[in-house]
Amino acid sequence: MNENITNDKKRQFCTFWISDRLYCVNILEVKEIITEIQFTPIPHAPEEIKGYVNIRGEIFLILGLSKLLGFEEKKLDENSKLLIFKTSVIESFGILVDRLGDIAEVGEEMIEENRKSETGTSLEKASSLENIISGTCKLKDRLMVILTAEKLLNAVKEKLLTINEKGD
Amino acid sequence: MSIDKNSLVYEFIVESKEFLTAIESDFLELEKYEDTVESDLINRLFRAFHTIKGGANCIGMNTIGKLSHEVETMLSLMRSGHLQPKTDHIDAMLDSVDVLNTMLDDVNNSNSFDTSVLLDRLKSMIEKCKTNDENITDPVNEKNTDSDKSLSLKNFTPFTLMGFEITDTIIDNCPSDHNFLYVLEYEITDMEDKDKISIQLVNTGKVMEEKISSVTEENGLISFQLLYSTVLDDSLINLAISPPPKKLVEIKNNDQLDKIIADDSISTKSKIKPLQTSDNQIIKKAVPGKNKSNSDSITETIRINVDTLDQLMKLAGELVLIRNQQLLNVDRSDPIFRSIVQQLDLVTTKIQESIIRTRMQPIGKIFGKIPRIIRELEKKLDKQFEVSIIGSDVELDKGVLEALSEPIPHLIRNCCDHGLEMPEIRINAGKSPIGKISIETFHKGGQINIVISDDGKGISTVAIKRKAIEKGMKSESELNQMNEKQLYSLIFQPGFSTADKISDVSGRGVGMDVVKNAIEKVGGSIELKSIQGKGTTVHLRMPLTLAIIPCLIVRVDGFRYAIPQINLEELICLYDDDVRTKIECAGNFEIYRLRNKLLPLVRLSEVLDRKTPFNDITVSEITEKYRLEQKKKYDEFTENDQNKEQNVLRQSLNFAVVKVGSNRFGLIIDEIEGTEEIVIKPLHSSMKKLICFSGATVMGDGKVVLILNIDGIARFARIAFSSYLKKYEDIQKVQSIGKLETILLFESGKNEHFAIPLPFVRRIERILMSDIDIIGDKEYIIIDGRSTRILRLEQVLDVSPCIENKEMSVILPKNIEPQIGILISNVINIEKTHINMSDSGYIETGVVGTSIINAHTTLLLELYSLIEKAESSWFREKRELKMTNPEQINILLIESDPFYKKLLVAYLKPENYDLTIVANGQEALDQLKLKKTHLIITNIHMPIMNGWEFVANIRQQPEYSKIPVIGLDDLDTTTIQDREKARKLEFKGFELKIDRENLIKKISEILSSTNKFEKILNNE
Repeated sequence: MNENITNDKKRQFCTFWISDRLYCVNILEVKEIITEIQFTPIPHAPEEIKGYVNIRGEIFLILGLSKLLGFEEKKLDENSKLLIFKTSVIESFGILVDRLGDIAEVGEEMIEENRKSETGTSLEKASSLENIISGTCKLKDRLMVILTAEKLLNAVKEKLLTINEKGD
Repeated sequence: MSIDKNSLVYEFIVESKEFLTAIESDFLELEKYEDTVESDLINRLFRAFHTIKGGANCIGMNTIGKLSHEVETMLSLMRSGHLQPKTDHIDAMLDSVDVLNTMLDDVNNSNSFDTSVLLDRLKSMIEKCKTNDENITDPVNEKNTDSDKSLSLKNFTPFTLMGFEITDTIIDNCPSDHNFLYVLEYEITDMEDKDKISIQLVNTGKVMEEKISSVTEENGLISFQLLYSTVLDDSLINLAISPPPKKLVEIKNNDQLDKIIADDSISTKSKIKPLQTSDNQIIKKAVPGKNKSNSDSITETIRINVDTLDQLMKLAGELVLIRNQQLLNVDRSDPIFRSIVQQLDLVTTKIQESIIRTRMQPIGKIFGKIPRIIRELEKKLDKQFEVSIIGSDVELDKGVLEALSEPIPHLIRNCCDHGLEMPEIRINAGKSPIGKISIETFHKGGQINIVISDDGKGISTVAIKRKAIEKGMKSESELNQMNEKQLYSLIFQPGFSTADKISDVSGRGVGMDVVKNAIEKVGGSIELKSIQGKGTTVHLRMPLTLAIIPCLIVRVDGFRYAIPQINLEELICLYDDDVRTKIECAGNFEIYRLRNKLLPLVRLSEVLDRKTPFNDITVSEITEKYRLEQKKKYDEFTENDQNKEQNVLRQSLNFAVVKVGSNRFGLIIDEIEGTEEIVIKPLHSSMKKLICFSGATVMGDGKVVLILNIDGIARFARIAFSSYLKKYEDIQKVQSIGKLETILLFESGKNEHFAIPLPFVRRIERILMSDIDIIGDKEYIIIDGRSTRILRLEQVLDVSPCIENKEMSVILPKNIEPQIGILISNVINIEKTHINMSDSGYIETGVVGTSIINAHTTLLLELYSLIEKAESSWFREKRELKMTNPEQINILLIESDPFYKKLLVAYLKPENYDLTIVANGQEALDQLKLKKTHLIITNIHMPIMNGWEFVANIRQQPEYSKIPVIGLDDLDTTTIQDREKARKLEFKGFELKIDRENLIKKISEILSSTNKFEKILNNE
């Protein structure tokens, strides 16, 4: 993809596939990719939460991204990967993706930030997919959706809140 | 300096705090050896305050600086021999330590702290000393009065040092608050930063002279030298100035030099010795990077950030896991590989142990406070104490240590105030007038044991009993049944204090329970023993560390969970038929009778399955689900012919009895895996709202396991502890108003609320209305394979008709044959309540009375009369033995509880005996004098004079000794000992209150068998 970009200001993204759609996160947020997946489910957590995994003695909370984005959940296979965020970016957190893509290097001018998220009540935020998405990027042949760890985790927190409200 | 200001302040606080903790005991030492003060000791104190002062001034904490300066001045007077350390002085200085500590806790506001009172106190003492000394002409005194600094730079004999000529002029030019004069030496190459260095230097002091040295001999480099006067001591210079000087030479002042000389040789009191050689003045100080040693007795330490330690701990944990995986995969047949793995195993374990030890701190840290406490108490209480501490170097986890920092001083105060007597009393008792307290700490059984004992008067069990009765915590008979250990444990109850008088030291009755809570919170335990007249011993057992806790690993629905051992009471496994029969329903909860106490059960799988907390509907759904499941299982089993030989349905059910505070419940789990020591990791912050979990851990096989929060589960499952577990806790608590009764509240018709005491109920069975068969005008249903008569309350009482639903409940009473069931529409609850019966209420046969329960007028039912009303034939035949003229039989009934009184009267009324009722043994004795009595029926547990005492009493009196006695007990709590006691006292029978049939049978048996009875019939 690199040859398409002429602008000096470039950003690198780690891309991945969910239900044949391309998503990405800033590569600077990513700590590592894990292939071996063994979840410990957390009862009472929102269904989007896959559970805890142990990565070399540290415990990470894993979000099933397809569920959150409203897609059918794929069965775990050899392509399924865990994308773990840096602990300096967010508290031990990772996402389950269907398949890993390349590293995309794109120019700033190709990125369109999503600004809608700034308004709306918290409930709207949780229900609206738009607020999970930080921006989009038009590649030559397709659209790539940019996500951030923080917004994803916030979405999970909102879900938990709505469950609790229902419970009471 | 500005860059590093924060770290400098932090450094200052930590260091000052360390000093202050270390010197407290030095002060006490100082007081002890008033006359023969060791110069070492004063020097140490002096140095501490001096350093604090220097540091404080340097970072602008002037108030701290001023206060420490005054203390320093006082110490310098002591050092010079002008001031004898007296209690007053030491008091003032100790107070200063406290104030300094307070200020250090909040350094940013320390400058606005009002220390004027303390300053005046110190100053006036110093002044007093000075005026006293004025008469004596002493050169030192002069020095002290003309300078406000103890470490004066004045009175120098000129000399030369490293090319600088140190003269009076230079000294005079030093600003008066500067205590130090240094020669700083920089390499010429460092001087690239000259601007930076000189700004720093000017900030903290004054550069007196500077020069570039000739080529030094050692290394041939050209150096840049400064004569520098400052408030900073050498260690602070290295911190404050960057890059630090290459070489730092302190020009020593008179006082210290003086001391060196005095130490070295002469014991004369001559205080001033002019400097002779320059060699003596120069003490080469460490070049940057090296720590100065501040006290000879302290082993070498290094300060590490707790975060770094935690990180290390985490990595060590990781290493352990990798090791574990390695161990699983190793090919044991390869000898070389095997030995490598064994080494790895060994080293990893050692690493983990040492890292855990880094979090450990010696318990002496807490004990350090004790001498001070003792000193203050000695004064306040006018007693004398001697403390011996063994094992101050035993190490504990930081968290555990912090948890102990309050309780230990509290226990010591208790020893001093209550435990140890006044000196005169001690002498009279043949003890030394000085009270001894010993504190011993040691490892035992994987725990830290702390034993605090005194040789005081001890705690008498009599006093405990008296207090317990006074406070209404326990009844006399209960106390008599308690053993010593149980009695002493009462001390830890809230609001309990045996001290007769309240003092400001202790005795307010709060405290021991707080101590107990604090210790139990971190998983420790406390026990108290005492021998009257000999002393009291308190034994604490603490866990080594908090980060690792023992847990029970259980399995539910294929996943493992950890239950902290602290919450665990016991494990129970039910087999075969017990699974079906031993689990009962109360309200809509499943319960189990654990040693006659009700234990609500919670199914963990259901808790984990449901995302929302339980409500009444979910609870009954669950109860029903498992009841039906069990029923289905059983039906299938009985239907299948093959099983006939097998006799019983093979199954089992595990549950853990867990406690939350003083409440207990049973947690039903699938499998028990065993116990394991686990390292706790907190839940992800976004998951903190999940109340059922308190954390997670990584198991040996690398899988994550969640740690259950038992308290959270209890809340999630909405266990109504108030209604069940009070019963569990204080089943026998007798209160003055009458006993707490556990009753079953239910509805039948739309209007009335009914209640039956729970002991009368065998169980509650859910039935389908369609299963009811009608024979004649009576309804029957099959329960447990037996035909059961259904009784509707409206058939026997004037109440509204039962509301019919598809599913209904029937109450099956105890001790009634043939089986009968009372049809009810709804169980309201099981309540523990005082039954205050009002006689004026509704009266009808079968109703004992009415009582207001939960703001509803509730009818209390008496089942036997009710059933008799419905099925009079059932009881009639048993009454054939009835007396011809029972009116002539005088029966004395002794019962204190108003409810049972009514009940027993209801039992006996139809028999037409002449019944006299009294409330206790004392009244009964009076009554015996008034009237000839043929039979006594007495309750055992009563206030004032209980059943045992009463019977023992009448057995002594010949005219009453032959009267037959029937004992009554509330529940099946009668022990073998009770039976034995009853036999000795010639009880004719021992019956349950709730079993009317047996009681009546017994009465008639006794009456017909006694000769006396016949005599009565013949003669009268």
